Amino acid sequence: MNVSLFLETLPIMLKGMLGIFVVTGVLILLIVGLNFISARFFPDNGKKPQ
Amino acid sequence: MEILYENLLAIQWQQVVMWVIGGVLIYLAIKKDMEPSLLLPIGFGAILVNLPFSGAVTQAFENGIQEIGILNVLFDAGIANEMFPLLLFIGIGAMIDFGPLLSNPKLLLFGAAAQFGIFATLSIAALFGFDLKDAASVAIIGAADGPTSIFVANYFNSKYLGAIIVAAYSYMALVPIVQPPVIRLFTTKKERLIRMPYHQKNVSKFTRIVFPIAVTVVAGLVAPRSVALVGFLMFGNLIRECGVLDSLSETAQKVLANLITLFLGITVACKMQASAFLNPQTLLILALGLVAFIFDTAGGVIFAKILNLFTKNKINPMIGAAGISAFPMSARVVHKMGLAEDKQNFLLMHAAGANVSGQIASVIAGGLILSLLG
Repeated sequence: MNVSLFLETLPIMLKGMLGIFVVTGVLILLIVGLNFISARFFPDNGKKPQ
Repeated sequence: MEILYENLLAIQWQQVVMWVIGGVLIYLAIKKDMEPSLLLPIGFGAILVNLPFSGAVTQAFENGIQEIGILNVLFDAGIANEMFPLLLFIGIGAMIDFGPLLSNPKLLLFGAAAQFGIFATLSIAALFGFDLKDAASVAIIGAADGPTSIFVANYFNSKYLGAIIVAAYSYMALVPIVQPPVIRLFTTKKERLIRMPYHQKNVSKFTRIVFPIAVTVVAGLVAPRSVALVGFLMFGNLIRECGVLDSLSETAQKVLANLITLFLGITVACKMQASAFLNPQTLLILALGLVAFIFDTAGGVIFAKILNLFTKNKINPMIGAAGISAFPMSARVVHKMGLAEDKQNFLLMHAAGANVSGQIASVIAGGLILSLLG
């Protein structure tokens, strides 16, 4: 049992999970933004309105 | 005749054990339909490389002569440089419909939460004496995603690559057995009965096309080492969604994915020689792989329960379990569990959205592991 290495990994776990949620948050904002732009400028499923 | 005796006498009991393991993998693939496209080649390969003086793998003889085996050539050409897993990702990307996720982006959160198993297993593997890079290689089994596991374990040059791949693909196949008890453990019947109406939203072609490009850019900026993984996955998806490359998309989904899978399975077997595979660490890795899947599932379910404390429209916490990347088994498991509790509770579309989120999140998690420990 390597308790010291275990303790060393705890901050990595924290950084990793935090990193995933930060990237996820950015991606959610990105999708919301894309859906907004698409509804605003491409209402006809991607085709520019005539 | 003398040569035949020589070969027969060279058989070691460890090799016989590997034949049995290979036979079991082939049995599971054929009889139980468990990830047959991978377990069958891996199983056959395990037998192939464990024949005495097998010409399929590189052999070094006492007189100093070295005979290069074709599986080692394939390994160096396709896995050691991460080419096979990346090419497979093009096929996987072309297969995935991100529609359910794009119409309900908050499902991405479940994909993120269900990566908890990776980091929990990293700590547990370190506790059990694996060094940091091997612990990370073992932990990535929790990505529930074969190519990512191969990519990360190979990047860290893990000596446990064979065991890690066998564990990753076996547990992906065992999702219908592993997940339900964990989901039941962490949810009440009342929670499992929560209905989630699905309102189909039209996702524009613009969104579908820009999404894979934007994800590649974001992931590349945050975790540059993951950009190959994410980029190839999203390239495959872009081919699918662009609408002008249907034949390429079809080729990527079928021919390319099948061809790479074929080579990947048999090539991985060169890391399953008895001398490298049969050791206590292999058993430990198999156990840690199970731990990773359990923590992944628990992480997703518990996160959904936490979200329910703050949201008006309650989420069925089982959806959180679909945040692991094992696509589409995990979504099917959650859907079936929902129907088992209430025949009118259709969770498939929500679960599918969480499940494709898991695909993205697992790749990002792999990239983060590389960035944090690479």
